[in-house]
Amino acid sequence: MAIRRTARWGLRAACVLLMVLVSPVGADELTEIVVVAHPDVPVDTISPQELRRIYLGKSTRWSGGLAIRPVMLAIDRPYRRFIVRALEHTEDGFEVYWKRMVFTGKGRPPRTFATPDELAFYVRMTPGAIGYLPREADRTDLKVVHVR
Amino acid sequence: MPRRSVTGTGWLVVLLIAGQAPGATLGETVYVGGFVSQGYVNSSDHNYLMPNTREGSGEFNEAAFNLSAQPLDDLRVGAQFLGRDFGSRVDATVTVDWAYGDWRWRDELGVRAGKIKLPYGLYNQGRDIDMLRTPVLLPQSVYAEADRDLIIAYEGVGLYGNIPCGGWGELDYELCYGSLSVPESGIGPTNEEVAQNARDLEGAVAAEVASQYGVPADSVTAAVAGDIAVDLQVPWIVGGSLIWTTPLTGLRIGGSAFAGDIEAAGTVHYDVLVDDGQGVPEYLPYALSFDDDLDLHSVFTTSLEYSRGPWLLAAELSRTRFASQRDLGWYAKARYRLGRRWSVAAVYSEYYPDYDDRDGETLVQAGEPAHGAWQDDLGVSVRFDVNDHWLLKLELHAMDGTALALPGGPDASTSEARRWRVIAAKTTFHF
Repeated sequence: MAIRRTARWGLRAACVLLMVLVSPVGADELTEIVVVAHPDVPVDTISPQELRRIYLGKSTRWSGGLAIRPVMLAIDRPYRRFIVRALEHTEDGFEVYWKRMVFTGKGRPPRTFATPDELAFYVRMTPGAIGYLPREADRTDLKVVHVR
Repeated sequence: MPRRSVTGTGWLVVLLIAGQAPGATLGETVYVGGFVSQGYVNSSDHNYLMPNTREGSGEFNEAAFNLSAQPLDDLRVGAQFLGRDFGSRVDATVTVDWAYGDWRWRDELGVRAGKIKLPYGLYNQGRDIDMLRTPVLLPQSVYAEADRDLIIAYEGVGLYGNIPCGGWGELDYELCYGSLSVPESGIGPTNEEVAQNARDLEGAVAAEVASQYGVPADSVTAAVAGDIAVDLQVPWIVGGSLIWTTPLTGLRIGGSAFAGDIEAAGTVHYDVLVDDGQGVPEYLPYALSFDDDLDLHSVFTTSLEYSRGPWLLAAELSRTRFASQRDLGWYAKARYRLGRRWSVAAVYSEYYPDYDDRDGETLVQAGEPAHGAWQDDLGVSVRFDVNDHWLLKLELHAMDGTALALPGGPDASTSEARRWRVIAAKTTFHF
């Protein structure tokens, strides 16, 4: 009986641990930034998994064949928030991943912009572009893509 | 052989001239990157990775410069030039590290052709890129420096792709077929071993010459003369890797497998002295040629990596069946980041060159120390990123066993110490 009880508690503990480890970081936590895209991009919502595949260079075309052009903001706080919350990646893991890709010839990292205005202008003018902006930034003529 | 040594400072000057800005994009069409590393290795009792580490060696530097362009959405081309100085194993020559065209038909299927990094284990493709990791040295039990030239890149064609598996994560695969070329004859990875074998044969050569000349065996001596050029070629290799990115964020599980054929050829020259005490001593040239076709039955790796927050945990196991021998190596690693600038790591690894003789009984019967049959390595490392483009590392290894130690060489005293230590330091500038 004692063994069974121990096994049962062990199983419960393992389940709790597993739930903690696999619990997705909710898109609700993406409160400070907004994912935006060129109006021609054929999606209104996107899953965190698909967003991660885009920013890791694994998904390169929208349905319909339009090339995906991901871009990022080089401002510290939104940058970290996007990588950790939206991409569910560690910041240094994301940077090491792209260094490995660059130095083995497998790809180049998403283009980065210094200011939200520059990024918004690029996304507005570039078919297939996707990026993110601080919530308070001007989103005129951009499509907002919901992450869920 | 005249040595050309290019210091890290020299590489830095070259790179600063060549590169303009960190990870620069030139007009959106050409992307450039580069790095330069300078290291130092000091070992007790045995030389490690390169000759002369017992005295300390700074001939441990690398520099790379790459260019890539994407003329079409589906097509990418690029090349990287790499210079390394790794003791007497590799002189400071600049080679094409990789150069290939990459046509990505779909996300699930792309084709590469040219010189491509071999997808062995999780870290082989980036093994020369110091800024990708906290330790100075990759675990030698799986990523042995002696094998680097044979597994770093192949020339041929490869298929690759990424396959989403819904709620089950995704799969990344790479398949390859081609040949491997060792960059330069005479600096092959088996050089030290061949040299040791050649020295072991000196007595036999002397006896052979004595027999031919009909003189007493003790009147003839033989010594290896000069460097031994080992020409290594791998006419074909086939294999690939499969990595499963699991639904558990940060967890990757993978494996790789290869098979191929290795041709090793070369000539060993001996200086033979015949002095029977009855005339003028006579020097005779003597040469032994070898041309071996070695069957690389299989190389397997199994890998696991988990990263979450500041932690990165990894473990890999490698097994090789080469000719009639089977080796086994594995390691477990933990890395912890302390803020943006500091990180520390600990790695434990074990390596057995002959899996069937892990206790060294065969070696003992041959009159050699048993501890040549294994190598346990506990390493601790600290890394400090001075800024986003410059880093410093320091590392200490406690070794038990000498399976990966280099032979002492003809002029070095041979230590029989079972436990020894290695200190390594490295600094890297990258952009």
